[in-house]
Amino acid sequence: MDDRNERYHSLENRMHPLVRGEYAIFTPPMLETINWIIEWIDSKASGGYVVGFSRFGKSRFARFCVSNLIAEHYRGAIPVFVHIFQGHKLFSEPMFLLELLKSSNHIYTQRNRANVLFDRLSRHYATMAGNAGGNQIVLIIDEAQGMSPQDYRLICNLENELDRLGFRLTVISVASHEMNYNHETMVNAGHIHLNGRYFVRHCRFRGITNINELATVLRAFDSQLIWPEDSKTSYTRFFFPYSFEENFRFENCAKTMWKCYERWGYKHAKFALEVPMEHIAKAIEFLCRNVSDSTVLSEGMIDKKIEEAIESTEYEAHMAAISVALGGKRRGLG
Amino acid sequence: MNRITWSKNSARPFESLFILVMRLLWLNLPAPRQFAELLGIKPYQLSVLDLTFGRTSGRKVDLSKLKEMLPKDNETWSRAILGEVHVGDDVCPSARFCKHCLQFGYHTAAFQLMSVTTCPIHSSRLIIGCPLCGALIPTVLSSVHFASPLVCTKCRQMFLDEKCLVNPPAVEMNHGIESIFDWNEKIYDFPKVLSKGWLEWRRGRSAMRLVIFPLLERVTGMSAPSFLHLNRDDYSQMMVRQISCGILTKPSERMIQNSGWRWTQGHNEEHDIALYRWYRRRLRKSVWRSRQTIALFLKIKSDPWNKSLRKELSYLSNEDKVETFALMLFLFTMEGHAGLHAMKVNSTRLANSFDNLFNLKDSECHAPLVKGQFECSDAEKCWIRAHFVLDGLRGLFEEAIGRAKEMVESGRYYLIDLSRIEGFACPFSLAWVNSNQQLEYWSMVVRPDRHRFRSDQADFMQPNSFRLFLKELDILSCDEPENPNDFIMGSKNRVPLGLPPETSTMDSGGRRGIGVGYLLEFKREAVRIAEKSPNLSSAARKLKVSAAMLATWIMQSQLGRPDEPKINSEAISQPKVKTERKIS
Repeated sequence: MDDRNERYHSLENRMHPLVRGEYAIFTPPMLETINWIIEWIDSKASGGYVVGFSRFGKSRFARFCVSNLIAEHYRGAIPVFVHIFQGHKLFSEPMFLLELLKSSNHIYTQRNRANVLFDRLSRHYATMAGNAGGNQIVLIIDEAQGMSPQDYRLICNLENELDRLGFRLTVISVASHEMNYNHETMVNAGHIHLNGRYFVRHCRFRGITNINELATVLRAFDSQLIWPEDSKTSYTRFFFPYSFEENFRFENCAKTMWKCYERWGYKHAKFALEVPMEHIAKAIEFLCRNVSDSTVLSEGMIDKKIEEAIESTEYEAHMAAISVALGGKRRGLG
Repeated sequence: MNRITWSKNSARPFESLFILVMRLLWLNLPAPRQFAELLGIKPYQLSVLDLTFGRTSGRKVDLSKLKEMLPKDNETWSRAILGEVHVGDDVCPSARFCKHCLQFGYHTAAFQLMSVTTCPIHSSRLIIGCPLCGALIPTVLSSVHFASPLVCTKCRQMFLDEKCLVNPPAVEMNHGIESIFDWNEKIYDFPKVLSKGWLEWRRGRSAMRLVIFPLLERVTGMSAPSFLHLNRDDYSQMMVRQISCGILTKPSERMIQNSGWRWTQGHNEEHDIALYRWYRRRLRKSVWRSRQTIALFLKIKSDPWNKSLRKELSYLSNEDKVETFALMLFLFTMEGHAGLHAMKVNSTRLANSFDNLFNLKDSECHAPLVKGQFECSDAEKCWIRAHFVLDGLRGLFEEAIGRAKEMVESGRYYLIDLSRIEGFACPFSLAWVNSNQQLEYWSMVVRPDRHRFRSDQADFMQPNSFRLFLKELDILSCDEPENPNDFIMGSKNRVPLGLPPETSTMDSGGRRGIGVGYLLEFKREAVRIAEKSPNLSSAARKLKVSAAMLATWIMQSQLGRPDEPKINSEAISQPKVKTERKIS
């Protein structure tokens, strides 16, 4: 790399969220999904699942966005616990309960008997809901495609115990597209009650489908994502201060980027194009890292760099993999 | 950030520590060790944590960590427990509940007062123990509470609604409960109350309580809240007044009946009593300033209504007072209350260590720790025992000094049975009919922010005359440490053995030392010397030499008689005291 952004590589700025990869962008697919989830919560549903292909931003949505969005919507009246499911070779009730306790930041997460852990967890959830002033709890389980019927049965018991204490639990499973097969398997295996509780309601977490949505995402870098906090410095302005003054915006690059996505996406996938969020975010990070403030305004340079950035994210390979997973069918991803 | 499970609605007025801890246990289900870590106390303290008083083994526990975790203001927190202002007789050892309050999961420390018979909020009668089956529910924390908090051990039913624990409903501030706390705090700010010529005495705890409360009410002039059940009419003619402290001089009946103190069978307890008498004489000689004061107290005791006697007390310096009250507490414990049991209860570990070190048989002594045995004469056995007896006495007197110093600083005096402090957590109240058929009542007022001994130890680090006094007394016969922080009130520096300090160990509980470490070290040293000697061949012979040296040393260091390497039992029963002799 002959060209590099000195601000990105300077030690002083190593705490920047973009450098650390600790940021999340609110995208139109997230808005659709959160509306579904709010509907499930409002209807006091036992659960539902959000499914989507990998790298579309589901996990980031589940881990960083959804709790804030729910808290904002319900003004903190509903506690949200986010759990990242860890697959194990064999089902272990204490292990699963311990992981749930850890994810809820409980102080006691040492091994113990399953019934103790179960009571501790249910009372913790109930107390948190009581502290929030409501009687509902939302549990979001990421990587739920690895959960077995036994795991869901445990969740079911937890829900029943909370119900006894006067609280309602809504479990949102966030999973990749394998969840669709698990769902069918569970029905065929006779776990109708689990299916009825946690799999009847579902929604698809889609990717970026058109240039307008892409522009919306890019606009976030230009104006919404800010660092340092309590400043007015957007990410674009931070890494390209001179160019930003000269009216450089990532939003203006949407057309060029979309062309690239279309070109390499349709080459393999014969379906309605949906661009994974990761390949957009990584491309932007590439530009912030490898394009200097002085060269970004050079004529033709940014287009060339954008192509290079998208290529570096291995977007084409990923779309090919998705295409293979779908069996080359000419249809949408869902 | 990891957090405990706790409802933010739990900051209800005057809620007791008992219900707070029970709720905390129920919500979090911690293991005892985890809970001890959470509170910042040691696990063994947890096993005797009295939730009514927030104390373990008679000492106040620092529960500031718990206070930080549970959002409570200072006043609410201070009234979550009963202090030493509350009479032990008046406190129910089992949890007491109001059935209506229990529906809200509410309990206040005031319910534990036996004088409170009805709930100030609902006016319903308070019940003792489980509301379902009546079984007693101990307020001292135990493994039962950890296994299943708020569950009756008899009927195995939970006596509280779970929903109240998760999200406790609000309870409004009740001035009735507040008035009970206020009255108790005010009324117990009197060191001693004495009745005059009251002959019709009723025995029993409740009778004692019923008498004391009207008595206190009258002497203070403050009327009790209406919730307190007081029988004022029967005692309206009783003369009562507040006086200074006194001291018992005769052995109690209890001491005469239970004077035996046996570590091993066949031991003649008269030896221990003789040692105690010797030690007492020595103390009285050393604490020479107190003799006059004690005489004054005796006068007060004979005529408690004489005001002129009390004026002389004001001339005493603080150090005089500390010496006096330390001696008084010591004597009270040994002669007035517990007798030789004081040493036993206060030195359980000491006795255990004794048994571990020496197993005295007919003609030989087994030493399990060094896996050996040696012949042991009766005199040698006496020497070994004498060491442990004296160590127990000295430990007791150290305790007395600490307490006395605290009393002098706070300006509030009370008598306390020091032998019980390791085993009981209840406050120490005394009320009895003395030989003049007067009712004596001693209040137990200590400032709530005091941490026993910690401040005392800090003071001891400062070079002052009080410390010199201790050295004079041979309780702390160590040299002046270079670093003041090295000065610890324990066995580490207590005995001038000439060995490095690390050879003297504290006992397993970290309490004041019993000297096992230096005994062992001395024994090893003796064996090493014996090995160098060509005339000694057998291991038993070597051990016997070491035991003889040990016994000699014990006598030198404890009895101050270096010129007589052997004494017999008769010598112990009639010791010749040489207090000023220094050990070479």
